[in-house]
Order: sequence, then C-alpha cells, then structure tokens
Amino acid sequence: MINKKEVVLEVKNLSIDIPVSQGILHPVDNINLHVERGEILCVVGESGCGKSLTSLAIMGLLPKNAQRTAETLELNKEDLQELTERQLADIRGNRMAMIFQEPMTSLNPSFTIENQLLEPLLRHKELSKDEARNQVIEMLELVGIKPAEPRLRQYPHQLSGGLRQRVMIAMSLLCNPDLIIADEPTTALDVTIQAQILELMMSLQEKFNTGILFITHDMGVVANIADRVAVMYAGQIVEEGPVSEIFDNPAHPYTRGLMGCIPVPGKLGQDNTLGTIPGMVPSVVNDFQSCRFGGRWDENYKENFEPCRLTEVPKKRRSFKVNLNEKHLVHFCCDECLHLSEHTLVEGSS
Amino acid sequence: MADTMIYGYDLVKEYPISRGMFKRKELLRAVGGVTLQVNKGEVLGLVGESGCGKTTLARLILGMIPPTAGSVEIAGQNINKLARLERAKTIQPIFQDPYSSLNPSKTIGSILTLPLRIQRDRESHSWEKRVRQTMDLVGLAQRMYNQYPNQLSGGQRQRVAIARALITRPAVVVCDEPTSALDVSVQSQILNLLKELREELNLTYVLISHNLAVVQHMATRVAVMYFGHVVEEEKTNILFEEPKHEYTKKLLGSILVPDPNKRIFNKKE
Ligand SMILES: Nc1ncnc2c1ncn2[C@@H]1O[C@H](COP(=O)(O)OP(=O)(O)OP(=O)(O)O)[C@@H](O)[C@H]1O
Ligand SMILES: Nc1ncnc2c1ncn2[C@@H]1O[C@H](COP(=O)(O)OP(=O)(O)OP(=O)(O)O)[C@@H](O)[C@H]1O
Ligand code: SF4
Ligand SMILES: [Mg+2]
Ligand SMILES: [Mg+2]
Repeated sequence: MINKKEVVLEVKNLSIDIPVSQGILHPVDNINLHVERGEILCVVGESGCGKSLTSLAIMGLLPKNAQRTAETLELNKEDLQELTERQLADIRGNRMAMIFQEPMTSLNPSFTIENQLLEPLLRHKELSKDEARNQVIEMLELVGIKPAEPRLRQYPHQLSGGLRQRVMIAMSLLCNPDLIIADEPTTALDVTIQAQILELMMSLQEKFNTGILFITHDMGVVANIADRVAVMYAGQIVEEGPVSEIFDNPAHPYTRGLMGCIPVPGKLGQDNTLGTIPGMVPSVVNDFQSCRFGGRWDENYKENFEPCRLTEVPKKRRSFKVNLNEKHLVHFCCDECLHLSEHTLVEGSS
Repeated sequence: MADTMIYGYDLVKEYPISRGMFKRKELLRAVGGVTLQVNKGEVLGLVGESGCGKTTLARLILGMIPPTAGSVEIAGQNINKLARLERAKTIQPIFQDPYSSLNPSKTIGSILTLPLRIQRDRESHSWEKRVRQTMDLVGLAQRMYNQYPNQLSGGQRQRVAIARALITRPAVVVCDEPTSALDVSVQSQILNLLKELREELNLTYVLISHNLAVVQHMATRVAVMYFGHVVEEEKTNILFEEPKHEYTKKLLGSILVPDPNKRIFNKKE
C-alpha cells in the first residue's frame, strides 16, 4: 500500500453560477479536485474554461454576482465555507496564497513594492519592521530581482511585466503557506528566469511541504513540474491522472486534441500551420443543447459523427475509470465518446 | 527594393528612479542605444530577459513615450511628427497586460468599435458586422459583444486586445506577448490568423515573446536584447541553429520540453 498523503485542499462538487443577460452562466460545473502536501497539481484547459474562477472560488474571492456552491471546500480539513470574511482574510496570504493571472489586478497601483510586500508579513508574522524588510529583500533576490533594494521604492507601473509577476510570486511565498494557487504565474517570464522560479518554488515546496495548484497552458512547464494533471474543459474536469499518464496516454478527446497542438520547440517549421482544435468552447449559458465537446472532434470524426443531443446525453455525467492506472480518471459523457477514445472500460460509475 | 517600415535610430530611454527621500534621483537606462530596421512584410522577433527593455522599445517604436535620445521613423516619417490619426492608421499595439489596456467601463463591442470610430471609417453601417466578424476570427463568443472586460477570462481579454489592433488592418502591428495568456489551441488559432493576415495584406510585425517556439514559428528575423542592448540579430533559422551570444545560448538551453520523461528539475522523492 502506498501511504496516503495528507490532503491540503479538498474540493468536492464545486459549482459556480453567474447570472448574465441571456440566462445563468455555469462556468464551473461540479468539479472535484484535491491537492496533497508536497504535491503539484497542474490544471490545464482551454482559455475560458473556468480555471481562474475555480481558484478564486477556493480563495473566497469571486466577483460579487457569482454564486458558489460546494459539497466540500476544505483547507487542511477546515471548512472554508464556514469561515467569516475576517477569518478568511487571516488565512489568505498566510496559510493559502494566490498568484494572480494578471499582476495588475492584485497589486495596488498606489503603494510601493516595499509596502505591498511588508503588509502580509507584518500582519501574519510577529516580526519587527527591519526583520520583515530583510526577508522581503531576500525573497526578491531569490526570485531574481537583483539588486532588490532600489525596486522597493518603485510603484507597480514602473516595473516590467515580468518584474511585476515576480513581485507577486515573492509575495505569495513570503509566509510559507500550506497551499499556493498559482494562476499562470510564469507567462511574463523568459525561459531562463522561468526555470529559476520553478526551481525555487519546488525547493521551497519541498522544504515546507507545500501543496501547489498550478494553472498553466505551457505544456513544457506541466511536463517538468507536475505530479498530477487535471484537464478542464467547459467548466468540468474531463480527465485527471499522473503526469506521465496524461502525456503518454491521453484518453479524453479534448486532452488528445490538446496534446496534438503543442508547438514543440525546435521541431516547428515556418511553413506549416499550427494544429488547432476545430471550433471553439461552447457557451456555457443555461444548459447544453448538445454535448460540451460536441462537434469538436477532429476532421476524421466529424464526417461520420454527429454530436449527441442533450436528450441522449445522460443528465449526470458518468465517469469511467480507464484500465491504465487506478489513478487515471476520465469523464466521458457517453459510450460513443468512450468508444472513440479507443479505451476499454474497466469499471464504470455514475 | 524592400521598403523600410520601421527605422529606429540609436534609441535611448532613461527613467529616473528614486533612491529614497532627499537623495538625488538615479537614472535607469531601460533602452541603451538600439538601432533597428524592419522592412515591409517582415516579422521581427524580439526576445530577451525579463526587464531588459523590450516593452520600452516597443513603446518608443509606437511613439507612446519620447526617447531620451534617437529617433523613430515609420514608413519614412518621424513618428513624433505624425498626427495621431495618421499614426493609428499605420501602427497598432497589442499590449502585454490586457487588463490595464482595456477600458473597464466599456463593453467589448464598443471597445472594438472605437478604432473604427476614431479613424472616421465611413461605412458606419457595417461597423457592428465587422466587429462581430473580428470577434469570430479571434475566437470570442458573440455573447461577449455586450459584456465588460472584467467579465472575461484572461485569455479572452487578450483576444479583445488582438481584435482591437487588427480590426482596422494597420500596416504595422507591434505585439507584446500577444498569446501569453492563451492555451495552445487558441494560441495556434491566433498565430495562424496573424500569419494569414500578413500574407494577404503584407503586414509588418514586431513580435515580443518569451515563447521561443512561437518566435521560431512566426519571425523572419530575431533580435536578442540584453540589458537594454541588442546583442545578437539574425535570420530566425540561423539564430536557432547557431546562437552566438552567451545569453542566446542560455536562453535556448532553458526551453522546457513538453515531455515528462525529459524533466530538467530533479525532485526528491
Ligand atoms: N464576472 C463574470 N461575469 C460573467 N462571466 C464571467 C465572469 N468572470 C468570468 N466569466 C466567464 O466565465 C468563464 C470562465 O472564466 P475563467 O476566468 O475562469 O477562465 P480561465 O479558464 O481562467 O481562462 P483563461 O485561460 O483565458 O484565463 C469565461 O467564459 C468567462 O467569460
Ligand atoms: N515608467 C517607468 N519608470 C521607471 N522605470 C521603468 C518604467 N517603465 C519601465 N521601467 C524599467 O525599465 C526596465 C525595462 O522595462 P521593460 O518593461 O521595457 O522590460 P521588458 O523587457 O518588457 O520586460 P518583461 O519581459 O518583464 O516584460 C525595467 O527595469 C523597468 O523596471
Ligand atoms: S461522444 Fe461524448 S464527448 Fe463526444 S459528443 Fe458525444 S457525449 Fe460529447
Ligand atoms: Mg484565467
Ligand atoms: Mg515587457
């Protein structure tokens, strides 16, 4: 038996509803995920599939008009839904921290870098201002902002995109949280600094046994850091498994499409058009007329395959465990889809 | 003979930075003397370490900030002497940080109509149709026409910025990390679109990107920046095959391969 590791984050049946003029949007629909201590779970998925909203929901930072429902939402077995806004604020930045997709949305434009970084330390840790300041400088240098001193007096708009992103990363790492949610944290970094940052995150994670939920669309990053991967599509997690499984044996049609259009460095000619998944993510307003992935099979499928209509798709999605590994879970919505994935069903559950 | 679309001569940009109260300000040299030329139909890839001055150089080329020294000519005319309207017709930016470049109080529809309005495009009856077509091209759902930027995901906002730059078909587009927030499939869709437009209309691009696969795919020539200077400039295939400068080599050596069997980090078990 493998030791069951301690779970830092447990999310069960999380849904988000947002009223819009055309009806109710279901950008996140009954998702389950967990992160263990010392583990990196990478979440990948098409733009707009609900990755950022999922992380905001965990942090309790959804926009006001968005409604969250969840069966379980626990940080270290503590129910996050029970907490008051004040208690949550104490946890945020301290026991769980988030690196936001767009640094400008979370850095305060009218505070210097020094003030933004000191704030969480002074608030959550018993440190003198000098001690805190030294820790801030040390952390900035660790994320490659050298020399750090002159940056302390600058304002966010005076920094380059990548410097801003690293300030955010430094901020999230300062208090050694149990859980870090990183939403596309390295998009503005060149590959050398990206490697340095990832290495830093991994070494701190080892030292403090942090769990990391890492959202990225960079499959190179996923391949290099993930323990497990969850693939999201149109508000649902359609496939989940150990990183090698997802790369070597993608089962869901979307995952396969995704693997098919990774631009491989060095192998890309100038003349070929890049692979895409035909069509676009369906609108997730109200209920689906047909399957979410319907009509987005590649050309071969399209000819002899009409996407299932709603009446044919079971109301509740069935999840089929694929025979490759007990940890490798794929959610197919119908037998046809399973059939097309060329996997044999071992154990089915509803 | 090829027409020169962008000619930047000995560009320098310095920013004053505070050294603390009562101390004299220090100057930070973001761009330290860059000369570059881009011909019509070319795609110049601009790569380099975070903070090395790429965005600053882009803003100089766009005429958004005055250079400390040097000058920029777009299609033979000094950018700072061009009237705003004329400039907007010729050169358009796609910015790195879509959040701060989109007006939060305007709907996507009106954000995308604005360039047509500013350029006094005469066929106003077709504006909405063109906006909606462009939304299709970049993969934005039609329902977003009436939504606001904060109701969109990061990648959707980035596509609004792309649509806004392309809707008037400017001759030059300066793209600063245009696809950094996009998943690989949507990224491919956008890159294919940029390529098609270039072939169709002979557009000229400056493409800043940390994604070297993207640069390799799109650029005809690549300039490598390091601490405010261009340290290496070569045809794309040559640069990727025989990088000369140390930094370029380091850059190419840090690419993460999308294969879990080829990890460069060692994680202790
Ligand atoms: N406040 C809001 N009001 C209405 N719709 C919203 C709101 N916020 C997000 N959405 C929609 O919800 C969906 C999911 O958004 P989310 O930001 O979670 O996507 P994402 O997976 O993070 O995408 P990306 O990779 O582009 O950042 C999108 O289609 C978006 O348009
Ligand atoms: N308005 C400003 N005031 C002071 N310094 C600035 C200002 N804008 C940029 N800088 C500084 O100029 C340098 C170059 O910044 P720039 O944004 O051009 O970098 P970049 O190459 O685009 O980096 P990245 O890849 O991280 O986006 C940075 O050190 C930055 O902090
Ligand atoms: S086969 Fe499955 S994934 Fe494909 S359209 Fe039908 S329900 Fe959707
Ligand atoms: Mg997002
Ligand atoms: Mg930049």
